[in-house]
Amino acid sequence: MGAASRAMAEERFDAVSIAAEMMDAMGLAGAASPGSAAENLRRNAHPPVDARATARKTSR
Amino acid sequence: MPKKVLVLGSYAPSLVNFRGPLLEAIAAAGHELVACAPPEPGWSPREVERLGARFVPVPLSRTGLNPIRDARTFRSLKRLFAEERPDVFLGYTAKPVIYGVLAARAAGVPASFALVTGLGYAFTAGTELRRRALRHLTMRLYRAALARTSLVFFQNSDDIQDFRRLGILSPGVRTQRLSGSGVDLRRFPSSPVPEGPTTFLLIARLVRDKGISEYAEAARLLKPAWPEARFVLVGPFDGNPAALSPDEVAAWQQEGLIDYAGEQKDVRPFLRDCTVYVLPSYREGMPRTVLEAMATGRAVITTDAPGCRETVEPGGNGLLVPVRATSVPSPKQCAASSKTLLRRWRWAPPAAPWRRSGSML
Repeated sequence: MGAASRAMAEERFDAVSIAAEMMDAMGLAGAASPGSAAENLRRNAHPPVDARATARKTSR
Repeated sequence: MPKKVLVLGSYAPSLVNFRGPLLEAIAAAGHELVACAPPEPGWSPREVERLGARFVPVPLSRTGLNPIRDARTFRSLKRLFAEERPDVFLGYTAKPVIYGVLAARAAGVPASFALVTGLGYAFTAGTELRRRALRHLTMRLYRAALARTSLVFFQNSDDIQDFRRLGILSPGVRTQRLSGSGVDLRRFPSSPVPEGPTTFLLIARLVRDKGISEYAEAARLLKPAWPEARFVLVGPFDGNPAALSPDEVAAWQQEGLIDYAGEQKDVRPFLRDCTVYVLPSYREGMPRTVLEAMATGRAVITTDAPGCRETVEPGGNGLLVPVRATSVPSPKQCAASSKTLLRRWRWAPPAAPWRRSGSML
């Protein structure tokens, strides 16, 4: 039950996705940088992974 | 093109707790952001400034029907809009939507948006004269304000239908349904259900319409057959007309029904320590505490009421109960079957039954 709750929260109630939806609707998405609000927010929320550093760590 | 955006709420901490991700997103997109709310004792605007907004205090009482005070609020807001000259206005909760949109319109703000977060005290079932008068007045004011918006956000379909049925939304007003304001999944990480005695938890403002009396009644029914179960209550006393008195809560504590933990700035430890989250509310926009409990990985028991019912797939992540239900045929049997159910919930494998049914999406 708890796991189902968490999965449902992630799928339907993620605040970052909902904020992006509101930004798009209000015409506020992407003022400073191109792309939709959802893309900008996700970029801020989850910094890009350094693939080479990850690969180095994995290979050790 | 960067714009100036003014966001108005009726409770300063909600700017961060409820609208934080939205404010952060607006500022991150390069817009100038002004966040407004009545000042709150002990609350620091630094939290809002950290999100990239400038905080401006406004004189606005969240509840109350004093027309002189509300007229003063309207004049102050009009002055604020004339000074700040935003391109976009967003108001949330009743008074900021009503007076904010009307003042923005009077000051010539080009675009106004409203976020209806629930219908509140005036619209929950009840026929008292005060409630009927408030409902009538709120409807008229909402109707005037919403007709002047570019778009109205709602948090559940029931509220949209009710607003249309009551004639508050004219046919030309655009609406968009959101899944509430959501929950910050990073701030509320999943945690395992603790071992030990079953702990039920309810977090809410201490207002009758949240179903707090029903929660205490459930404790009264179950405690004799299930003495080790704890019924924890967290939340502040409120100025709402349907507010509970400190004496009522103290009486439940003395009777051993409720463990009242007062108002808490950070509810996460309480969510982590509970077994099941309970919200027997009569009506919600989208119950935030339920979303936080879900993110923490807790089963939820809530009512089959607007807003609440959208958070639970019965049998999947919790149970729905009728509004204002306080009686069971056999408390002893109810306690026994609750214990069995909880044991099953504790060991249930991860599942997402709403995906199969498709009814919730």
